[in-house]
Amino acid sequence: MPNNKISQTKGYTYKDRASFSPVDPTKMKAHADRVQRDVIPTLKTQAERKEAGAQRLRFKGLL
Amino acid sequence: MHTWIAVRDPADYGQLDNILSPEFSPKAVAELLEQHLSPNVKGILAEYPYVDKDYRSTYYGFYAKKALRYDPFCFRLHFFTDRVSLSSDLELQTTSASNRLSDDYFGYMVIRPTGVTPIGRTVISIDAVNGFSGAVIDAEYHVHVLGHRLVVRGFPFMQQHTDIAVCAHAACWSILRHYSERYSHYAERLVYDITKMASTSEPGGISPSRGLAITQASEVFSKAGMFPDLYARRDFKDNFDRMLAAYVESGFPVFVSLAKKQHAIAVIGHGSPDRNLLQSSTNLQYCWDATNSLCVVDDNLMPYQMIDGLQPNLYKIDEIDGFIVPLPEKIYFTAEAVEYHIDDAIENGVAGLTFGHLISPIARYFITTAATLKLYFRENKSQFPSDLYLALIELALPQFVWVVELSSLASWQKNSFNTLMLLDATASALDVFPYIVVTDRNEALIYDRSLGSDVGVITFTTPLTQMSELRKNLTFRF
Repeated sequence: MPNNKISQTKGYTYKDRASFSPVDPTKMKAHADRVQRDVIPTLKTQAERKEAGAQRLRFKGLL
Repeated sequence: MHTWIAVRDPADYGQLDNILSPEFSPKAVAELLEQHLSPNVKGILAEYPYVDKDYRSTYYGFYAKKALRYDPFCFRLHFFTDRVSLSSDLELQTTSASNRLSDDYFGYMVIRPTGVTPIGRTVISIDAVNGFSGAVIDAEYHVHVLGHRLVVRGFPFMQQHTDIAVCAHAACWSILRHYSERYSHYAERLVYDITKMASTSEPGGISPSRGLAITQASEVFSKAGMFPDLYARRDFKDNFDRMLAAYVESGFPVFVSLAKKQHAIAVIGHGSPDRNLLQSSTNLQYCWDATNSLCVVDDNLMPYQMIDGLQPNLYKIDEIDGFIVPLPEKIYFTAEAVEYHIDDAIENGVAGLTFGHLISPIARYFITTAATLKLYFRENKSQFPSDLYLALIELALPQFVWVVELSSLASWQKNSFNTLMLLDATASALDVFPYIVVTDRNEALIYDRSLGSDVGVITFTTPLTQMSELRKNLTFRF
């Protein structure tokens, strides 16, 4: 549980500056949706290949 | 017994033959030193009898059980500059202005009485190596001799024993000794411990060792409290070499297998990237593709050998068919996941931030610690817009962070970069937003993961232009 007294205020100095603002939530959602659709499946496939490759190396002989 | 050898010319290494008896193979040792050490080495202090903990571990576990008598003691050779001498009353003296002996000390080499492959635990500075140019992972070692406490930076090396330990054991030993010296979290493992750790069933007896399969090496690292990740070249056709380089640049020595040669080595550094190799392109390129040489610890050679993909000597970089990177705890986000996110970011941007201003984009990525990163930010404060700097210096970070430096080709050629990404090394592999910080030229996304608050945007009053490459994980000599 985060410290409530900190989370009630902005906490960090950079958040108190005029230069700081919340991100546009529609842009964040679009990014997350695209990564979920395009990046994550590729990562999952790669992870399966990586595991299979580690198994193959097991039988490659002695070093 | 302490004997001083003045090295006026390379032939003086031959004096070892007058001091070391044949079971220490003095001629072979002298020949290797003559070929490998730089002309800066002008004095050797030979120390005997020396109790070497690693040799003793194999002596107690193996050599003492043999019919052939083995000396329980070793020689230890210490290497110095021309400013050091040994007086008749065994006082090491330096004429250097600082009067600190360590400033004139290049490290040490243990010589074992095993007849063949006698070079034992060795830690020497890269400054003692003939013509060395590159960047290496190293740590500080404290050495006690004649009442002095000397310091040397280096990476551990030894020749394989050939019987109780072979190349894979030697590579594991080098990596584990580096970790135990650099980080107090890891226990020290002696050579015989590693031989025992490699196999629980010891098929065919523990000796002569029949070698290790790569997964047994992985098990050694697991038992030592590390978290090994294993990569096969076949499964990473495009990015195998650059992920290896990225882990090395992160300060993590990598255990490498050369299956066709039935050999294992440790990769501990790299050569200078060829800044003219990458050409103008609209496609993203990686700086590691321009790094053509790796610095290795190979128990068949001397420390800090460079292997070159373009001019193969004993083997080529593309003969590396697999590697194990033994990682510390709290690194869950892998190099391949980082690359997928970089590729996606360059092509599509990140939540409104875009990177079209990068002409011929180049990515350089690696892991560093929060402490090192904040040191870098503080030392380079003037290169960051002030509001961004406040966030970078103040944000609570995980212990390890993936750093991505994105550059235009022209900036990269000047050792600089133009935009920065920080990714959480503790992020899950399938995290859709593993970023902590993403910048483009005018804005930064800041995700304070520690308090779980929403992502915020900092708009810069002055645009980000060029920042210096972070070079703090390795010791550079180029």
